[in-house]
Amino acid sequence: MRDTDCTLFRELVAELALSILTGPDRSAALAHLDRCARCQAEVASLAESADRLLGLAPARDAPDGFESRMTAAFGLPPPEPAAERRRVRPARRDFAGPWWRPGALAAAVAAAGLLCFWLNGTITTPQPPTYDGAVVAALRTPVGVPAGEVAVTGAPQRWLIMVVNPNAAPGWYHCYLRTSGGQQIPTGAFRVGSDGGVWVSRLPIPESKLTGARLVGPGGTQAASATFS
Amino acid sequence: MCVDGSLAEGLSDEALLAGMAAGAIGAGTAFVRRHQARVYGLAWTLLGDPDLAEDVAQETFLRAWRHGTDFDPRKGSVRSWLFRITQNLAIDALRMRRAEPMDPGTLLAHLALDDDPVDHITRLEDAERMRVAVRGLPTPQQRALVLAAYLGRTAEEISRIEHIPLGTAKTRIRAAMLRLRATLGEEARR
Repeated sequence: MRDTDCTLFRELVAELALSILTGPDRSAALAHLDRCARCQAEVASLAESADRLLGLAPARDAPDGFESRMTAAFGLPPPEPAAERRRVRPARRDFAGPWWRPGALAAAVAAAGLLCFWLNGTITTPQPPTYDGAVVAALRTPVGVPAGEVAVTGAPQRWLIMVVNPNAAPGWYHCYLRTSGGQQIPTGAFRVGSDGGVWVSRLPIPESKLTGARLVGPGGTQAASATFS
Repeated sequence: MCVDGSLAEGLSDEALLAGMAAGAIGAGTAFVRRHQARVYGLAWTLLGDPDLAEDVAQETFLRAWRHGTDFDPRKGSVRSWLFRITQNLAIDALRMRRAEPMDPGTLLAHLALDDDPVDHITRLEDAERMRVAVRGLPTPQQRALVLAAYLGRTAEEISRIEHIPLGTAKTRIRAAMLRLRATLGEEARR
């Protein structure tokens, strides 16, 4: 495509705005775009329409506990129920930066413990819960390299917390739990980025039946596993 | 840093995102509370699987938290940015599972039936204008648009899915987008 050829560019502009243009066409279109303000405006205008299309998807109530699970994943104290929210809420603690690097699991367990406490608690003055019941196991690759940690918080609310180290291959990981009966229970999928990943989910089986966890990584490879003693 | 819950709920999306990225207590919770129905709804619409949709929604908010400082308001709204993250993650999940894309007709039905009761009036009007514009497209263009704009299918993939020549797929995508923009422009001028 010649730099000055806006006519050719116009054939590709919709696909570029929708981010579905690939290969040499994309390279040529981007090269032209670098030098043509008029076509930049054209792409921006169509991209705005594409963005607005996504807003047509209907809103749906997220599953029960979603907000609390996110709060746990952020390593924050649990949210108060809207009906019981106080006007003034004292600061509990600050956090800054990715928390899953140093003490990641401890933070996650602490947050989940608070969450369990909040879900079940009836008292109005939060007290630090205890985490004596939390079970922790190291995730290791098939060759024994540490890959992260997995934990199950104490009763009565059992949460599964998975922390994958930043050196893992980025992509989607599927989690399977091993049971004492030899079953492999698919539990969910989560994405690991270049800076690692963290995932929180309800434990779908009784803790007494849990013997281990397995992570299947991008491309269906066995990424890591953990064994609970 | 602490942002009181009731105060956080009155902040703009941009302020909440900045607060969340900076680690302000209350901002993250308020941000999730404000957007979870939309993000989960989009993931559900694209995937048709509640469990996978929840995983994608969870990852969307984690991305927003980790990369909130990268958000550039000149490139669009926070909501659009979140939707893009959700869409990309959902498309990745579909491709990883090698799942068949949702039938565009089914997806269109989801979009057209929604009357969006949780949104406020201006967005209702905006969404309704968009719905009218999409409904006004010929069905082949609607299907190509849905496959491209929601499911991230390339023109080549659309030509295979719809059993049409590549050139026809490209023409349908382009015509749909241009017509959509023209209709929205006319509606906005009324």
